[in-house]
Amino acid sequence: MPAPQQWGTRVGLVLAMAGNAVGLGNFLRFPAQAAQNGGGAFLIPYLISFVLMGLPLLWVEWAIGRHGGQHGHHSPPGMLDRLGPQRWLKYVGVFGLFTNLTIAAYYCYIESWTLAYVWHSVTGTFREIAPTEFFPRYLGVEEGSMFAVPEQALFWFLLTLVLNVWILSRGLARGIELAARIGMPLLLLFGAVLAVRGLLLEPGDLGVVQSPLEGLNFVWEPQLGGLRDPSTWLAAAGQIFFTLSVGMGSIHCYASYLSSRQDIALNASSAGWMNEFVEVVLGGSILIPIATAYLGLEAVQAATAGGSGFGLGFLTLPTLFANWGWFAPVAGALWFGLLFFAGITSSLAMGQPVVAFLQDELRWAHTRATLAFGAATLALGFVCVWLYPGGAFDEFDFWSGTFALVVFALGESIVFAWIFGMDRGWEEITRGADITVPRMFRFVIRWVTPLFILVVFVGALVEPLGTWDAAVRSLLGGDGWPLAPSSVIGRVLHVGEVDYRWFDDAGGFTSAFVQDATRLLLTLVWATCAVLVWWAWKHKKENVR
Amino acid sequence: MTVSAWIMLAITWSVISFFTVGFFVAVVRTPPREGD
Repeated sequence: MPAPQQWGTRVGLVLAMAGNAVGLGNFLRFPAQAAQNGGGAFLIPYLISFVLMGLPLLWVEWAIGRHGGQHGHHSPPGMLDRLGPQRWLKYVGVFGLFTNLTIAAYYCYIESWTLAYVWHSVTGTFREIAPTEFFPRYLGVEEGSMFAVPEQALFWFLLTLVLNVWILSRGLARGIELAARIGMPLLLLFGAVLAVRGLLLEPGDLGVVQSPLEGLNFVWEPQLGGLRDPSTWLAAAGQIFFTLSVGMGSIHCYASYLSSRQDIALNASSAGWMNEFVEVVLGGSILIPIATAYLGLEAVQAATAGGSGFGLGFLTLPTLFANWGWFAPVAGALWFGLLFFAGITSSLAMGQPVVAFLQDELRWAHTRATLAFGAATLALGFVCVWLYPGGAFDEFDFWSGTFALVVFALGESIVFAWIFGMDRGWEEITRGADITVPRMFRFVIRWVTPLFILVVFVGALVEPLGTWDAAVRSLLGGDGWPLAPSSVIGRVLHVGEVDYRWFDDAGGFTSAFVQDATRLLLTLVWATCAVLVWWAWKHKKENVR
Repeated sequence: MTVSAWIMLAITWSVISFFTVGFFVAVVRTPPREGD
């Protein structure tokens, strides 16, 4: 039997955990969310959410992970099973398998774009073709078609996947930890170089139309009126939730390789705050200031109106870098390189829980488990590639990358505080701690954190069209609740779709068909994970007998 | 940039940098315990 895996160094563990949390959203989503939800005032609910929901949830997940690891479980089903005598607990942990598997599928695809963009930045592709033209061509998007088989995108996707599988196959210390020890410092360096270069731009420099400080002002100007709007608070809580990679099972998995007396309180705090540094200090200082300098504030406001800087990051920034002369290819490589490092340190964290499940519960060899993860990610990822124009990618992103995370976090926070119990839970969090965890967090973890997540969950479920104030007035006035099409219920019921049908007049599939088929596929993946868990435990019982 | 934006930026960056550096230095400097 192979020796159990463990982390090489403590710093390596913290960097791997921080790398897991730091993702593309730190650079593309945060600045747009902040700018659109009260600017500097957004940081008030954001930091409150971090202290009352993010940090406690980090401690809870580290504690569940280390506790599970002591019993030989390095993936969520086994860990949750160990929190109480109830047999259904392991099925809460199924979400921790499902999310990692399905998010890895589309996340590796985005990660492969960043790798491809590093190549195209260095080789000067964007001098010859505008990124706005290049991107749809790269993805194989054609007018009116629901399908795409883009050869180049598939090549980079495959390469990214092979890289992920290879690193995972090297194990914890020689694979994941080494990647984090290389990737995280480079990410910080690349980010710092771009932020300084961007903020030093001045009106009068080639192509610059406005000071980048106007962009920084757009992100930071506090609009205190926004604090009265519940959607600002929901946006802030949502951003904290997704930026920390909680509700996935990857934090649990990494923490499960600690011994029972190794610290989790300080390690979790360090990794969590490091993510905040990358997001707020670096993430807020690159995209919007540089885009503002070259496009002007109005264009940037319009581009980030949806709360995402994705278009600016992939479609606009490569063009703007062209103004930097000889530094343009370097800047492109730095920008997409830092996005790649942010991506790969996260996708590795998605792979390890799946690999650990196959090893621990199904007794598969490490290499076989790693290859199985690669094959499953390839198959699911191909669905995202193939049906990208029809909206499969967005369905994966919403149901796996948003909805399932909140469900799992809500479930685990309740199980930890109320089934495992706060006495044992608090002992687990503070055992071996190298810092004193303030005692008020005992109360926070028991009451405030689950309530916070519940509010986020209900907010997503019934998100209204327009403001919450107007929706409440509409409900009290007898006109019903105006559900937003982007709410969970709105999506399930296809709210706002005037002509909902699966086939068009020519007999071809519509995007509604692709969406529903993708939802069915995701449900089947969840059910398959649940059956595997059931099967593994059934065989364990038989072996005990 | 307006004064209020500068103030928000300065306070937030200071708080986040303080905790990030403080905790990371503590991680680096805390001697490994038995079993580490």
